[in-house]
Amino acid sequence: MDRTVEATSGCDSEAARLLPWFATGRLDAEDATRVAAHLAECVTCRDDLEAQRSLHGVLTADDPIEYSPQPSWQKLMTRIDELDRELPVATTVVEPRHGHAPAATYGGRGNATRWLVAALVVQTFGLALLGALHWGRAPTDGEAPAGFRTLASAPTAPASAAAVRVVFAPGTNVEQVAALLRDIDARIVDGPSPAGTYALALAVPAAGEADPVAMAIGRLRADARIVFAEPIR
Amino acid sequence: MESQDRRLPPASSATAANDDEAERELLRRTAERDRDAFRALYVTYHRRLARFLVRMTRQYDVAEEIINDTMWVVWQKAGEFRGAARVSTWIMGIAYRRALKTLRRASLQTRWVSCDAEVELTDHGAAVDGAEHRQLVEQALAQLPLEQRLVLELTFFLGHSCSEIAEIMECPVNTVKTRMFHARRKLRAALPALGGADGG
Repeated sequence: MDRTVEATSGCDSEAARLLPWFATGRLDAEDATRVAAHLAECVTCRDDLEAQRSLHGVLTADDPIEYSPQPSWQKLMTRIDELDRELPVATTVVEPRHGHAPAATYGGRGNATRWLVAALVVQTFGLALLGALHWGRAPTDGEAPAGFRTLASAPTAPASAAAVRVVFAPGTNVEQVAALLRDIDARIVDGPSPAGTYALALAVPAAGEADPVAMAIGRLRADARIVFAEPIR
Repeated sequence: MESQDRRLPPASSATAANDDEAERELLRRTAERDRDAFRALYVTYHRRLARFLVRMTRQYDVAEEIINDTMWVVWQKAGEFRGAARVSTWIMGIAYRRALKTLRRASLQTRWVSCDAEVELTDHGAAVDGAEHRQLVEQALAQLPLEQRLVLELTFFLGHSCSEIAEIMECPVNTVKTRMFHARRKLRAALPALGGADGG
């Protein structure tokens, strides 16, 4: 008789529920002792154990399908090489929350969404920048129309050169990006790169103020919507 | 490349500990950007992940993408591994979460979505011996709800303990035991049937 088909005995003891891991040798010592003692008394579970061992043998037998790792490995190396070229400084990417893929990935079905988000962010800030230039070049004697407000309408401190490189988490919307930038008093000055990174410029700090880059990096890394944040050296 | 490693040795706490020690060393070197170590880890896990993820997604191209997303995280986060779990538990957990996300996004789960549903397998007759047996077991496994199938796979093929599986699948230990219980019961019902379908 095929032992595998006997799987699951009529015994409803706790020991019976642990039999699969007894068969594979993956019980801790206490549980293994308990199951062994039960097996000495229970014929049903002894038969069941043989069924578990038979199933173990079937499932660890050679797989008829062998997948070569080489093509996949090459793809991954290409991805890593591209990121290394872009980010020569040794960095760590935060594992995305909720199972999102890292933003700096190539290929894959999620890319379209990421590029759309990226395009939206760039478009928004491009428009904001145009608005700022317009205001600066053609001042009127009045104020901005009541009730009309753009991102550029808030006074902004002069910005330093690009100082921080970031990758936004997939799904981060324009409002969230804008809030993040306001929070650290930064502007997007470049990006997205092929790996989805943006370069940020920070406001020039007042004399005696703490290092703005370190402060910005700390705040960005603490934010779930930032997958990656590193200083530009 | 891995012909001599095609058949996994029987799992046991001792071999698991030895494997884990070697993998921790590979992971430590990976954190130092040692690509040879990462490649060794990749080859080791490609086979395990391919089988596990093909069982989850039923599509190798999808599984391959998840493998590389998983190993990408391993490459990036190797230095953050603190060793609270076995390396294999950590990596399989990453893969499992990524696969679930992919399945949800792509609606690949379809009929497997209600994973703990009580679906009885059909009994068609007696069992068979020999090479056919593996195929019959595979057919029976394919009919199990996703989580039950994966508990069997994580237990018997990948050699994880009950608590490790709970960690990978992010569920209580008792849930793992219950899934295993139902999986075993359904296999018992199904396998003699599959074997006797043609009177063989």
